[in-house]
Amino acid sequence: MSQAQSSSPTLFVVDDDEQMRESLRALLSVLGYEVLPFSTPGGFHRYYHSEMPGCLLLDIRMPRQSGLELYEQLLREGKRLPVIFITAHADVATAVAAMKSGAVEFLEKPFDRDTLLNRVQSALELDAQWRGQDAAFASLAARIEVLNERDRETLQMIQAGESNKAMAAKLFISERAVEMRRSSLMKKLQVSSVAELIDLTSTHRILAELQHLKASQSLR
Amino acid sequence: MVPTNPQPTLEERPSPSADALIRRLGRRYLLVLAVVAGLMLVDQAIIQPLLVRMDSYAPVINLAGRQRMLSQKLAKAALAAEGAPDAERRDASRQELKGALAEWIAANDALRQGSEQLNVPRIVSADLAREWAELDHDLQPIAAAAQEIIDGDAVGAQSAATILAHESAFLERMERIVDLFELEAAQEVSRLRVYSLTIAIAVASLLIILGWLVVRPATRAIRRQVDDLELRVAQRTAELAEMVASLQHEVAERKLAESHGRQLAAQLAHADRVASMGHLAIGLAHELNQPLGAIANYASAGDVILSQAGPARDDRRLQQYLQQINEAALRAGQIVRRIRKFVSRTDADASDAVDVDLGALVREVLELCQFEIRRAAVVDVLKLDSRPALVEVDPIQIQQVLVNLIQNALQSLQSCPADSRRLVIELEVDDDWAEVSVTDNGPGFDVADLDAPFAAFHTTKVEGLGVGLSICRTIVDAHGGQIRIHPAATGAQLSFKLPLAKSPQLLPLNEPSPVFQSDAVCR
Repeated sequence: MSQAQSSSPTLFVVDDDEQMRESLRALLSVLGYEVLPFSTPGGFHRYYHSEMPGCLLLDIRMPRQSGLELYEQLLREGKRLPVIFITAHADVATAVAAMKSGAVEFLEKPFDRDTLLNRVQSALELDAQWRGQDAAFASLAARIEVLNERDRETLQMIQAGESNKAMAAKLFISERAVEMRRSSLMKKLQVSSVAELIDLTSTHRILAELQHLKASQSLR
Repeated sequence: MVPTNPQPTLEERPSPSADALIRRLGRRYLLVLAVVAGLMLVDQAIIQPLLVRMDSYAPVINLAGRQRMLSQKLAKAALAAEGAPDAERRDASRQELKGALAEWIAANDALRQGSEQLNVPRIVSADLAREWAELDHDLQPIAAAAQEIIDGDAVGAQSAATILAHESAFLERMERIVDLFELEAAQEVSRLRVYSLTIAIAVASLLIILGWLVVRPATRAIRRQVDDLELRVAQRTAELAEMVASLQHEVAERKLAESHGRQLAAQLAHADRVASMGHLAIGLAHELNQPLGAIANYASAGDVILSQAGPARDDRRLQQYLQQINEAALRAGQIVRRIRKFVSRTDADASDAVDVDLGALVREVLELCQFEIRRAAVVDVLKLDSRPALVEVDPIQIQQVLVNLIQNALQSLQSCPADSRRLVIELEVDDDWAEVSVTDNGPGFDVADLDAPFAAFHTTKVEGLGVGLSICRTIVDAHGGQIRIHPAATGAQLSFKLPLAKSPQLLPLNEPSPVFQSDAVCR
């Protein structure tokens, strides 16, 4: 998967503790990352838009709004961003809650540089992956969007594994007409073979399900 | 030891018998007075008339003396009438004789019978009666002869001779009668003396009796009373001395007990703080991890910079990170000190009362408990009064109270569903007091007895000593404040209030918590 967005990924650091926040910023910037620190979840929330790639280093224990709450809020709003929860003491309850909400990583303070680097790296990779999927789905959706009623009918039949002959019989048209519908459909979806067509449609279904899952997660 | 009156009878015994004695003595005194008064009446009734009679003896004796003189006059007039040279002189003498005779007879009668007119009493005695009878032998002839001369029947000098013949005898008798009168008077005087003496003796003996029967017992009674009184005073003094000694002993014991009590309370408070510390330990570990994590990060960052060789190396930044490491290490040290301070002190007498802002104290405690609150899945709300709440307290002790209240609330909230656990901490300030209340929506207290939870070792929990609220009350009381449970339909509300400090200077807490804001809603 390639980077979908042109802008470089940013590490958003949200921690109310100034020393912790600034020390993270110092370490991550000398490691060559773009770092943007926030002292409150609200500050980050106001700033962040879903197009911004990167990952979130989030302190769990914060006044007013905890890291978990912020993460849930982001999910509810469909802003999916990999999160590295930073905690002083990862007790089971918080860990389970964080895992359920889809957080990828946990970091227990104090942590060493390599661990941090590993976590950050995998989080950024996940973000890139997510963004790639999103982009693919978006283009698929755009292509499927342009199909007319006749094309969709044809597609459904192809997916069902019907032969040209059977389709012609069901639609009360000639086999030649079926051939023409097929080539028109494949042209619109920019595929060159039936195998490619099937792969595209099933990918779309999986991505749609993922989107649906994401939506239902946020409703939880 | 409680001093008791060892002889309660001593105090009460004299009153009835003394009353009786006084009544008895009073009766005796009145009796003797009555007798004396009676004697005085007797004196008036007997002696006085006798004295009056004594006065009348003198005229009697006078009259009797005059009788002698009259009898001589009688004789002289009779002789003159006998020897008169002419009739004229004879008549004159006869007239003289006639007057003298009448006077003489009247005086004689008066002496014998007594006379109001001549103011002479009748004086009688056996001797006098005999003398009077003897006197008649001379008196009658003299009177008859004198009458003969007056009448002119006299024969020659016969009558005058008769008068002369009887006169000397008469005078003699009269002399004796006068003596008898005098004797009678003297006897009267001696009788009077006897009477007076008798009465005087009676009065004197009555006085002696009075002394014997009244004064002596009264004196004795008074002396006994005085002795009793002195004895009682001595006893009382001894009792009082004993009481003072026992009181001093008691005071000393009480002081000792108090100091023991204080020590125990301090030890208990310390044990409570250590127990609280157990709960707080996780939160404090987190707190400590902040600077430790920061130190690790800065150190790693420094390491990365050092690994960059040559002119690209940013030494200024490196220096900056080292400085940050230093600050974080200092902060970690402060946290450790705070923990040590919260747990260590056991001496209740060393009260470190300073002027602090109760709001800052509340925020600090809330921070101390933050992790626990989070772990208990409790929504906590902090409402601070906009006015400053400056109180003069021992910050550690007041923090302990707050920690206790918050932990109680958190424990009680465990029985609630996780999504409805709510904890409100509120600080209100008025003119004289600052009041902190901790409210939860847990099962609450038994409204019937809102005082019971403050008793030591009262607990409804499975774990714990049940000393938390008791210690809270001890601490709040020691600060001149009040702690109480508010009756509530649901949940529990505990509050304590402290008097606002009078002096205006504010010593800042050693760890301000800038993260928390007034009226902030925290989670």
